Amino acid sequence: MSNIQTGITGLDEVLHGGIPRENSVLVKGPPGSGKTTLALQFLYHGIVECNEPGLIISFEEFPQLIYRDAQNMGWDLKKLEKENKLRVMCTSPQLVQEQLGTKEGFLADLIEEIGAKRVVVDSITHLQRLEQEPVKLRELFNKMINAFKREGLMPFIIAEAAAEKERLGFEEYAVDSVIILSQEVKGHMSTRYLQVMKSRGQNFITGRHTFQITGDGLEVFPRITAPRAVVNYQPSSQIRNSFGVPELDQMLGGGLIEGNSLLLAGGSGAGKSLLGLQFLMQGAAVGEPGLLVDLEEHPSQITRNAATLGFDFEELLHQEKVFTLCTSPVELDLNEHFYIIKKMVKEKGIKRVVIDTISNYEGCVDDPALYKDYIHALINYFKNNGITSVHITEVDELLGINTITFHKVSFLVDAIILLRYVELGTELRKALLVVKMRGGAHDKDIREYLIEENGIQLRRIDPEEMGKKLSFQHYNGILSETPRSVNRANSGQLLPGTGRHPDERQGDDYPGKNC
Amino acid sequence: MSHVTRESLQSIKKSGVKMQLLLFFYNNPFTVDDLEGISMWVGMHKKEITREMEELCQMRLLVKRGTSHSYYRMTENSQLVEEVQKLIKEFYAQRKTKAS
Repeated sequence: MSNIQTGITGLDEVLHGGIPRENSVLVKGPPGSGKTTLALQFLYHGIVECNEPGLIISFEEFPQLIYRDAQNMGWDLKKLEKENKLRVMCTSPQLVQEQLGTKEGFLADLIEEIGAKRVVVDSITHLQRLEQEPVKLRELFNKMINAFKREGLMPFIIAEAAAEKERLGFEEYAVDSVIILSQEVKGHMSTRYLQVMKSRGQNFITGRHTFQITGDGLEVFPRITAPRAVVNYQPSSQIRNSFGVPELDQMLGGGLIEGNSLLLAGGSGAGKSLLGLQFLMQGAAVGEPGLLVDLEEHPSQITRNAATLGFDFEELLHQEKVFTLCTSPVELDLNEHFYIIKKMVKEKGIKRVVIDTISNYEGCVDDPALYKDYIHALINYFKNNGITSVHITEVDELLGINTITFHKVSFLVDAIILLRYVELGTELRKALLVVKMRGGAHDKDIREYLIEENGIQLRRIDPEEMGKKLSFQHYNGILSETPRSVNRANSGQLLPGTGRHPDERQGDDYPGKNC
Repeated sequence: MSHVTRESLQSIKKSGVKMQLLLFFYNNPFTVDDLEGISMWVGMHKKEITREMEELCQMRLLVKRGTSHSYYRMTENSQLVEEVQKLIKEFYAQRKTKAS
């Protein structure tokens, strides 16, 4: 059985390639839900891409309005009519019913004249003009569908649905495939949904998919599905992807493993975005195109911030070595967002991705389980395509890690780096820890880092090289709110005559005093 | 223009119903419907259009088919279609002049 493509972006993905040729299709939805546009797109694609002429039978809408609306999508139906590839006719259900029963007549002539292979009927609800009794109406509908099939036409039938409760009509049983279109308003936002209710002879992605009507027709964004089982094949690699920060790469055993996912967690201003940017820029330097998905900042803000640290991110964008997808998390449709990411990854040959921040996705879903599913789907998509991904997340606490806010997704990722503030003396300093690293050994030290020109730099451990400042190796409880110094006598860094470290506070207010 | 004279074509402009019917078929050239259906499409009573439809068929601008249940469609004669096109252009031009 051969499947024919609908030509509707995303819908063929939902249908795993298209609809079986022998199927009759019903498109049902309330007014303005996009039924006619979907059917026209299917017909237009058939004519232009598959050389399958088509027929539109309208029981209500004037052909001249159909021509106009199609023209707005860039589909010149009049031209196709001149080329004898299309006929848009308005008529009555009674006449069509009569004509389908005869071998001769205008309908048979039309079908033969252009060699029609696809037919759109808009809309079948008008059959009620002929018959009110449900059993007879169903019989009438079946006859019509069968007659089209007998003529070698693939019927695409439009039906009206005024409300959700009216959705299950007899016509849904009589056809092979049913596509339901709907629209929901939440707050000030209206979202369009498409659902394949059934499609005989094939598998399809169940559930509701979002869609938009653009200047090119319908664009369907398949529902995000978290993988239910381990896929048969997943690429694995031993190649390491450097951050361009030698000490950090060393902590990671040479860098992130290609295709792995990293959760980069930290407080506000800790340098998460910067480290993500450095990861992408290092990728660009070694010929690995990168994508920055930013839900917080505008591209100009990103390039400006990078420039203040001496990075020419703008030039990399210009050279198309890195790409950005900047979008507001307000009213964000995750299905669409994921679809765009996949499209960019495919088109630009992306090898590294940074998402800043995945915390923003939480506000886009009603159900927390969907958030986890989304992150799971994202990570799996990158992994299956050998793309190394960095997922930035915000940690609420400024100091300490009383609440692990990233617990929802931490088990999904291969590696976790934590960036924390540490209060020492009168200073807030910054600490980096590799919490987790699947597939390789990693340094378990808590390391101090600085944000300087040229980005994040890790401090050397040797206190001899650090002047007055001390490494965290002289403290315990770095990640708690109250770090305390240890082994002062051996450090050789005590202030003469005081017994205190240079960065300790005077008196009883030293945070580690009571620990 | 063998079966329709310039005079008879010009007379269509004087009949509002005929002109409306012709405009409808010209703008929706592959319409095929019975009197009942056409009356719905053009928003007129069936009685109002019956005679006018027959006259347009006599002028061969419309084609009537079917025996027990008759239906109508626009002529496929390219020469006649061209004449209808000219007529409609003139009609719109006159309407524009009147409006201004």
